[in-house]
Amino acid sequence: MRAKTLLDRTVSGLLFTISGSVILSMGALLAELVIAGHASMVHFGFSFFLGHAWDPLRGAYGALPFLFGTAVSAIIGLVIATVLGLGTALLLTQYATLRIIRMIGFLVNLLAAVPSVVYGLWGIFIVVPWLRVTLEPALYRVFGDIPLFAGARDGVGMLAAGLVLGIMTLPTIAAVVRDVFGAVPNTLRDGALALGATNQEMIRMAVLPFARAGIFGAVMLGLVRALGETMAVLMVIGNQPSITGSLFAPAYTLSSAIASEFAEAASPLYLSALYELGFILLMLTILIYTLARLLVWRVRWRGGLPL
Amino acid sequence: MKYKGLRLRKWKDRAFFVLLMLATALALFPLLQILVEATIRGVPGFKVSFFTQLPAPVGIVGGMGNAIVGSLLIVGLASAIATPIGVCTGIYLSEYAPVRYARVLRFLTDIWFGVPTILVGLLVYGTVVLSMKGFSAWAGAISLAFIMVPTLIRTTERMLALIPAIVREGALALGASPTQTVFLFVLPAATRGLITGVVLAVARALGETAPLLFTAFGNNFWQSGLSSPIAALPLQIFLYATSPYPVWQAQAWTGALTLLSIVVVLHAFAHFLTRGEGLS
Amino acid sequence: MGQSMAARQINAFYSRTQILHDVSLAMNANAVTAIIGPTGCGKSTFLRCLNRMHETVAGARMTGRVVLGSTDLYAMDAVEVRRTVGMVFDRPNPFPTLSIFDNVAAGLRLNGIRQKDLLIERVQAVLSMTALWDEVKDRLEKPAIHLQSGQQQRLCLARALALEPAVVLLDEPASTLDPSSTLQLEELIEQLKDRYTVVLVTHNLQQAARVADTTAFFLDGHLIETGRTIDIFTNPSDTRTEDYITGRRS
Repeated sequence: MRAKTLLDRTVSGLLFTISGSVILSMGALLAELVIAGHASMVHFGFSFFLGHAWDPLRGAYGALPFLFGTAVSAIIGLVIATVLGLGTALLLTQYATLRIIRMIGFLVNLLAAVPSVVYGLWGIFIVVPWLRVTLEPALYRVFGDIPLFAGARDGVGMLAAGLVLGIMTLPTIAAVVRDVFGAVPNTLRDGALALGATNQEMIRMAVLPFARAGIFGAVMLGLVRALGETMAVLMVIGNQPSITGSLFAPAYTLSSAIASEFAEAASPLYLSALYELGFILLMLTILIYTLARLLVWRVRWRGGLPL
Repeated sequence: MKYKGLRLRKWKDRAFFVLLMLATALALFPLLQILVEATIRGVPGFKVSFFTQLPAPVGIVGGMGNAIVGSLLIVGLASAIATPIGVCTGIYLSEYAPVRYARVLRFLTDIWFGVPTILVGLLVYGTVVLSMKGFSAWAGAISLAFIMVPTLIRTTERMLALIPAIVREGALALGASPTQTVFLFVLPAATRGLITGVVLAVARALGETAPLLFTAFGNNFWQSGLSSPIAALPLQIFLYATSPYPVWQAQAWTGALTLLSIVVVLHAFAHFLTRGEGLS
Repeated sequence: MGQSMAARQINAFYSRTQILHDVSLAMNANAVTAIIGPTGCGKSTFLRCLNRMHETVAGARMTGRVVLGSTDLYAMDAVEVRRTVGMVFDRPNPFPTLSIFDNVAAGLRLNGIRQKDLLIERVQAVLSMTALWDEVKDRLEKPAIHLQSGQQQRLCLARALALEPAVVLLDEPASTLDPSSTLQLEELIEQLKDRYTVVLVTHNLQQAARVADTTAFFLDGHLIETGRTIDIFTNPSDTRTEDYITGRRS
């Protein structure tokens, strides 16, 4: 490249300055959560994570119910999203010789575009009644002896949140897994097919072993999405800071708690505790995201694609 | 040597294909259901008055006119803030940034993209709302801008990456400086892609609710200025959906139908602009 | 034993682009047929039509018939075709997660052969046939990707031979190998024709001259000329062949 002119240096410098906004924003977010959550961190220390009571009237603030609700609903969601997302991605990438299947791709993209609040609406008016009337009584009849499926069957609760989260995280997982499958070298697929493998055997021999780490990474990226999902969960999970063994029971998640309690947080400690929940949420996001990226990178690197 | 079992293997292969089809059908069923239900439940309320009137007390049929105007206003404002930042950063990442710095920037952008949007609401509340001493259209717009920037950076970079290297090499070989190359040759070639990026970011911002809860806050009246609380379509849908009144719930569906229509049109437009290239 | 193979009026397409135009070619049993021609002439596509690999690519289609002995391959099941017509690709593609042994046994296992002793016997036989046995017999359980690329390519050949195909297709098998590995592979190809019908696609004219009994010259998707290798190289009847052989074609 030629020696840089004054113009080049000016433009480059200007763009560099603007790009600093990325670092600045992340820094500001972190700082805000730490500063505003500081009172709660100092007051409760580590016991904040273990406290299973969240009772603002008595001044008890423990994050455990939210961690529990977040984890359970996210796990249900991830199981659904992983199974369906993998199936969708395999169909879209490995059977692309069929023309109809290429058109399905657009619909999957659209699934990602539906706003959260619309998923919430779907949850309230369609998923929850269906759970209350059909699925939960049926599960109760068959598995009622297991605590997981015992208790009141109101429709609203962790199962509902999990179902909605499943559909919402599915496009994320499907998109990343599609990328990962796309990185599987064609020569590997050819090798299996040329040996007389059926499509299913080719997928088992060539595609899945190669993509294993990437699939795991995709699930983690789905988890990031599930953690941060606020409105739809808020609308169907029942919003009770309790830890119950039943999947039918109402619960609360980190993000939905912030959304619904922030406006009514009267005392400074209450507000600070909500900020600390936000801080936990951010830390979890960064941690899981980093891990997921590393895994997806590994597959792309092995496939010889740019990172 | 004679090999056996081909029939069984073919059956397994077929069964596997059917399973994949089933998974895909199950994955797309909710989308279909949402589109159908929003149409059935939303169309009855889809009248001119819905778009022109204010929310009314229970008993009187009102509309979401102010919420629609509010959404357009804050998303417009957010785009005005976010587009230069996002696009410039995307250009810097793709064309100028040293490899290492680019890697850090890209990583942070991706994390930012994954940051729960409710946290953006917390940040803007703590900075903008508290310092302006109240909820405002500005606060809402800044929240949405925050959410749009990483989307814009990503698509800008991806679209510029689609421009073949020969365009750059050709321009440089003509004696153009790096900056002339970028602004006179590369960017014009990527115009459609850049517009697509903005369209997709707008589509995302229009549907965002969580970060508006304690920044824009909502408002039952027509907007009087940018420094007062402002209504937004997704906020209004949320409010009505969680209300106990069937009339309001029906209006929530009409609102959802409106929102979905806009989002689908924006996505179809983006798809049309790039013929699906670079989108995923 | 190998069987003779014949392609009849093959037309092949990717999307709307026609890659092959009405190609008919007979490939003799227990002989090496080389297909030569400049890059993009359709020689690899032709090879992929012979074992129905062409149809595995999105947007690809073809018309015409391929006959092996007296069987129409396009009336058979594609999976069955591919285990009867083995293929080695332009770059080594062992399954990265499998060991050397498992790579060679992969095709056998797919076809329901599970008896350990039978597997071991066959793996040893084809590894010997490809001159690999002595090199790898002590590390059969090691991942195959740790072999050198010449060894990997011979492993892929062994993997194809394990299924006892009637025909072996070689798609520029030496294109990523160093000269000594290439020489070793060519010696193997010479021996293969005792048992198999071999079709070799190559861009290396010397290679075709060294190993092939029959040579076919492709240009822009057309079969220009076919005949005994010695005739093609010394006395071609078409001027386009002559130009290509002598390097006159720009």
